[in-house]
Amino acid sequence: MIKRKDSPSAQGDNRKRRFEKEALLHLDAVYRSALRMTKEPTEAEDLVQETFLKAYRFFDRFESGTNCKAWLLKIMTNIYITEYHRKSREPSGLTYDEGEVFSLYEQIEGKEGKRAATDPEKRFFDRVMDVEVKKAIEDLPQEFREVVVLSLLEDLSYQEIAEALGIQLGTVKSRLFRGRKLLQKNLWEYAKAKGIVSDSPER
Amino acid sequence: MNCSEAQRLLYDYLNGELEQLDLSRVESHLKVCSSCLRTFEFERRFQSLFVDRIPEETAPPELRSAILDRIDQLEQPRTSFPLSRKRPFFRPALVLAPIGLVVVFLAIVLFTSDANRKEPLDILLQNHIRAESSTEGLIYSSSDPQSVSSHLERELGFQTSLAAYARSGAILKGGEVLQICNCKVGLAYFSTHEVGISLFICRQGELTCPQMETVSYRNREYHFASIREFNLLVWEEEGLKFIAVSRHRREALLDFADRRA
Repeated sequence: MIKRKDSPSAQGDNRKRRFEKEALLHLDAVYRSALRMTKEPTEAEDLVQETFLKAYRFFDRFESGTNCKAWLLKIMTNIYITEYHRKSREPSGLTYDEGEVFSLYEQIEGKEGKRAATDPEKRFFDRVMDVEVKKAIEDLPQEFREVVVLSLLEDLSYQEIAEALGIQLGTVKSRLFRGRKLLQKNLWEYAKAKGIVSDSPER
Repeated sequence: MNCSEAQRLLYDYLNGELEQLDLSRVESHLKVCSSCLRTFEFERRFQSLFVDRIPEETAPPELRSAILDRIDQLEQPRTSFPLSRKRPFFRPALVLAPIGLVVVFLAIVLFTSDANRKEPLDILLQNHIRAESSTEGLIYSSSDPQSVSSHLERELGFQTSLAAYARSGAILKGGEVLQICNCKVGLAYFSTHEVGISLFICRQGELTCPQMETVSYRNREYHFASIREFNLLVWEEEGLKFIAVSRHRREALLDFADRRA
């Protein structure tokens, strides 16, 4: 009762091949983002599986030639938001007065710069460990982590992020701004804890 | 451009989001202002920290094969259960009102359920989905509507788009999946307006009835039948069969199906 051009199996094979070539290509990128979002490898793997399965079902609606990675990440964040993290998605309640925003640049230049003849930024960046960079992202509150992962790590545009998360463009911008400042604050705290830097004024 | 304006555009600049005009204004400011240039350079370096220093994690190889396996499973029902044009038959249960369906299906499932086999209903019930009796009959609902959808998918490999409905403004009242005559039938109740539309999603099996006519609406093909006071709209999407049953007029059902897509 429903017409088909191809036999179902041939159609399926074709579709699967195209899917492997265009979508599965981004498996690593989607997996990495899922890891940053869920912070948990098994949960990330589940999320990635659901994402690709849903993508496969709706693959007809993907316009060839457009950003497939952005499309996949949109599906992933959608599943993540609706199924995995609905309960923890209440805003973190974090309010950031523009005046209180942390600036890593000022910290390094202001505190370190006075006593170090060598490039204080280089000193800081060189000493930050890879694992701390990762932790800095994972320690961000949910709503900031999402935009930071999509922007900084996956290089999505503001518009793509807004669509993926179903939020306004202005919200993307402000969360990204605050997210970056929080990242800087996190890194500064880790560095302080390790004794790489210090904010005591007398030093 | 002054320094505070340049600082305000800093992140848009780094994210490549500035229009040509602002872009050239920022760039000419950076040529003359060494203090802004330093902060821009700093932030750029900070940004690259996240690209350069996060280890390139690759997905485990099993993940790729698991996805491909599940895709194969998804394709399978299409080949093993081809749609029949030659032997149309009429499935009486489908002409019953949604209320009737629940009761009939429920009875069949309850009476035919094998004690050792895990029935879909058991899975749903054990996942805190409540059965409520109301004027519309028995309605299975959960305080967390999407859990119905995710259970259908996870436990039974049965896909629905309940979450999408909930978002599109329909009121999700609950959902349920039952096994009948080797067909998996998913039931989802939700009402868009005062009169409800019930959507049934079948993964396998055939469905045609004699008085069905083919309707084309916005470049998609549907099959429509009017049985007693109910209108029935059948269409296919991604290998799943969708059946909307309602007292709504044909146009409303077509519009509903189209909005779904």
